[in-house]
Amino acid sequence: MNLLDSPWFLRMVEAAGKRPGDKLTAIFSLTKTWIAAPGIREQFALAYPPGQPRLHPCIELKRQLTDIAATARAQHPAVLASQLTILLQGAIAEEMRNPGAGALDEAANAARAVISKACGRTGSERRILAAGSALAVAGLLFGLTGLLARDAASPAALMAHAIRHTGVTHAATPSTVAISPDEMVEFIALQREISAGHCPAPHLLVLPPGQATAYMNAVNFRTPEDPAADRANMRAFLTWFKQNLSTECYFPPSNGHTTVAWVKR
Amino acid sequence: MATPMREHILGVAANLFSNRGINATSVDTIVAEAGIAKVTLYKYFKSKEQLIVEYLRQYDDKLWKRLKEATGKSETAPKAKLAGLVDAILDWIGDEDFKGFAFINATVEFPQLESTVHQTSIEFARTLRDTLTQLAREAGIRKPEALALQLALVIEGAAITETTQRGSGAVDHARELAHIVINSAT
Repeated sequence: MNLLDSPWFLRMVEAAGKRPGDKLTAIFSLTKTWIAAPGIREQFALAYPPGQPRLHPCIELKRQLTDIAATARAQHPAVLASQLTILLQGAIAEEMRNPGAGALDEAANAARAVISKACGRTGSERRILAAGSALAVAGLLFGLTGLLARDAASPAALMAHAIRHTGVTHAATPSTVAISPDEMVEFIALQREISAGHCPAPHLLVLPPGQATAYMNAVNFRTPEDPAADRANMRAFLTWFKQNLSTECYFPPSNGHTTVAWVKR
Repeated sequence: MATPMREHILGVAANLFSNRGINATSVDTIVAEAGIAKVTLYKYFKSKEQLIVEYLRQYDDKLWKRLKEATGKSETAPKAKLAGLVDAILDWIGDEDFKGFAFINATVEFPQLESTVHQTSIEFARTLRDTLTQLAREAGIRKPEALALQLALVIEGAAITETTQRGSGAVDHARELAHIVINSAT
């Protein structure tokens, strides 16, 4: 698993703001939110055996940051991109070791200094930069939902595994996050049962339009246009499903046996 | 008690630990590589844990000796001193046989907080951070801890990037980055 090069992360960076500077600094806030999502730390521990470098080289991310740096008229876009990924790698390692010690925030501060130096920004523009990237944070967990729902075999399974074994529920959610981790976990679990054929898929035509959009956004890992409304719709959808369709779910025994006994005569 | 045999065992072990990882290196491998009997190893080191702690200590001594040599003769202005220290650490990372900081790798391999190896590693990492903070404070920086953290991130990021992509210029980029961070700190 190489998170930093995953298409949804690259899309989140691209969507993080209009100004190139916002996009560049967003890599830190996006990662901060991602690491805070339930089960992610455990995934790191499982995905990277001890003694191995914790992260892959993130070549795609570097390429994208180079392009963004070029539009920001950085003197040496490739160097700036390399410096930002160095900061990001260092910050992730530190955050994994000392959670909540502000590693990603400080990395973002250092990034602002180096971006403003490379792109010759003025003080006021720097302040605007500092205010940026909130949008990116808002959409992050939605992107994550999509990623996990699509690749249900590994990360979602790991996540469910981690939650089962550690009882992690992470009630503390950043206020800017579009959908709460618990709802996300619930949705992923539901989506897995639907794709496995254990639960009926909802007929989108009978759903209120908002809920259908929220459902499709989550399935296709699209960034919602209105995260707050999307969250309300997602919650309404989950409640509706529980009340109306969950009785039609059938879970076959996990040992592969069926209830029918075949007797050879 | 530094005897030639002890040094020999430690040298072989250090080499194996840094190349293969600590957990992946068994006592049997060390013994075979060093060409000695297992009893001999246990005569000098009570346990593998003690051997690991000694290895970390020796690594730390070597690192600080090198850093002191590099910064001892440099300028006296506090900001320049801070930059000099970071430069020296980045030079250490740029070394061909750099395999990641031993104490950082050890915390990854021994995540249990109560393990002696973990605690020793944390102590060494803290010394480095404290030195950075102290120099930042002497330079009159308003938030010395924040600057030290930023520099620590640059150092660790450079170490990770350099070990995963040798020759990508990470050390030079990190050096420039560190200087910008130091100079823009108030």
